[in-house]
Parts: sequence; C-alpha cells; structure tokens
Amino acid sequence: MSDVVKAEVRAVRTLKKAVTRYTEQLSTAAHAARREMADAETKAGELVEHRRRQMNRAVQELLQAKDAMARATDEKREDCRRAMVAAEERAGQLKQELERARRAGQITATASSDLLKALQTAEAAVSEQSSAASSILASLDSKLSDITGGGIGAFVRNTVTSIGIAAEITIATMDISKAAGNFSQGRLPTADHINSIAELRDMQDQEQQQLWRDAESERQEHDASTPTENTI
Amino acid sequence: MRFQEPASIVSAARAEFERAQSDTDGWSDDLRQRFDAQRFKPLMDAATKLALALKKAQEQCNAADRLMAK
Repeated sequence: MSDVVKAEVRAVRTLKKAVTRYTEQLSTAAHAARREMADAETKAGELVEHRRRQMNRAVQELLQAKDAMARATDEKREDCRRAMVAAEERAGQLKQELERARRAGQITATASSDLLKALQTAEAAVSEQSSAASSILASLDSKLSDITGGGIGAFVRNTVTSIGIAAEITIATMDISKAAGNFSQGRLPTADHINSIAELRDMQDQEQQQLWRDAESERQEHDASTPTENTI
Repeated sequence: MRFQEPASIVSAARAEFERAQSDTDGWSDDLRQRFDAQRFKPLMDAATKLALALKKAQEQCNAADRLMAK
C-alpha cells in the first residue's frame, strides 16, 4: 500500500510539473506568434508606404510630362508625347502595385486580428485550466507527501484520508472536464469509493479494538505476575 | 516558413504533455483511471486550437506575401 501512495506522489508531481511546463511552452509559442505577426504587419505597412511614395513620384512625373507636352514645340512634341505615355504607363503600373500592397496589408491585418483573438482565447483557456489543474495537483501533492512523510504508522492512520484524496482527485478532475463541457465523461465519486472508506473505517476500528485488547491482555498478565499485598 | 517557430513549440508542448500523461509506469490502476487523457482534454484542446489558428495565420500571411511579391 505504501508503494502505491509513493507512486501516487510521483505521478502527481510529474503531472504538476508537466502542466506548468505545458503552460510555459504555450505562452512562449503565443509570444513568438505575436512577434511574427507584428513583423508581418510592419513589413506589409512599410511596403504600402513604399508603393505610395513611388506612386506619388510617378504622378508628379506624369504631370511634368503633360506640362512639357503642352509647352513643347512641334519638333519636340513627339518626344514629349512618348515621355508622357511612358509616365502614364509607369503611374498605372505603380497604382496597381499600390493596390496589391494595400490588399496584402488588409489580409495581414485580418490575419493579425484573427490570430490575436485565437491567442487570447487559447491563453485564457490554458490559464484557467492550468491554474485549476496546478492548484488541484499541488494540493494533492501536499496531502500525499504528508501521508508518506509520516511513515507507515501515519500512513495507516491516514489511509482513510488517502481514500478521501482519491475521491477528491475524482471530483477535482471532474471539474476540469465539466469546464470543457465534458461533464458526461467525468467520473463521479462512486459508491465503491464510499464502500472503501467504510471498509477502511471498519478496518481501523477493528485495529483499534485489537490494540485495546492487546493492551488489556498485557495489563492482565502484568497484574497476574505482580505479587499483591495479600500474597505477601 | 511563417509561424514555424510557434507551431513547433505548440507541437512539442503537446507531445511532451501527452508523454507525461501516458508515462504511467508504477501507477495504480486507480490512479491511471483517474488521470486518463480526458482529465486534461481542455488543455490539449487549447493547443489544438492554437495550432489551427497558427496554420490559418500562416495561410493568410502566405497569401499576402504572394500579393506583395508580384
């Protein structure tokens, strides 16, 4: 029985550490995801600004080309017309590039909004569940350590408590399942646990009665071996 | 590839946590039953949702990258 409880202590501590580490890892992942998303947004925003500046320059060049065309002499008119057409093409091309950059920026902004929502939801769920799980596991770890820390005598005295803890594990873990809407899959404290507690209480009563009988027997033997005033 | 680092961390966290749950050597049957996988399902679900969200963000950012590269 002692080995079983020691195994329980190890298992609970292992799970407690695992929950803590799992929470830290997901937090690190969320942090990395936010950083990467922010980088993507910055990149998209910078590209939109770059394209806008290019577009503005192209529009200025087009206006200058149109102005030159208006003031051109006949011999320069054809050159100015070609320059104006080239500037129009360039401005049109940059307008399309600016539009694409804007669409990319919008997609990135949507991705960021969706991801941040998902991260918040996941973090809230992990925080809630892990703190509940860690708290339950820490409490169980402490109780189980108390039992094993007290040696076998204390273990026997605390056996009923151990079964109580087992029931507590059931209730506590059931709460975790309930929170996730998996209540139907949670294990309720069943009659066999209650029977076990009752049986252990019977065992404990019987043990105490036996100890009392042993003590009484020893006392009687002691009395019988001790000379009384009358015998003297 | 975008979001590879967080996706890898989530994947590793899931695998590690699953191992911790399934490493039941020396456990009593009672303990094994009480700490079965269902107990920590909400925690695992959170990682699953996070992994899906990262995948979706990756696809969206890839689409944005393709537009920007044109």
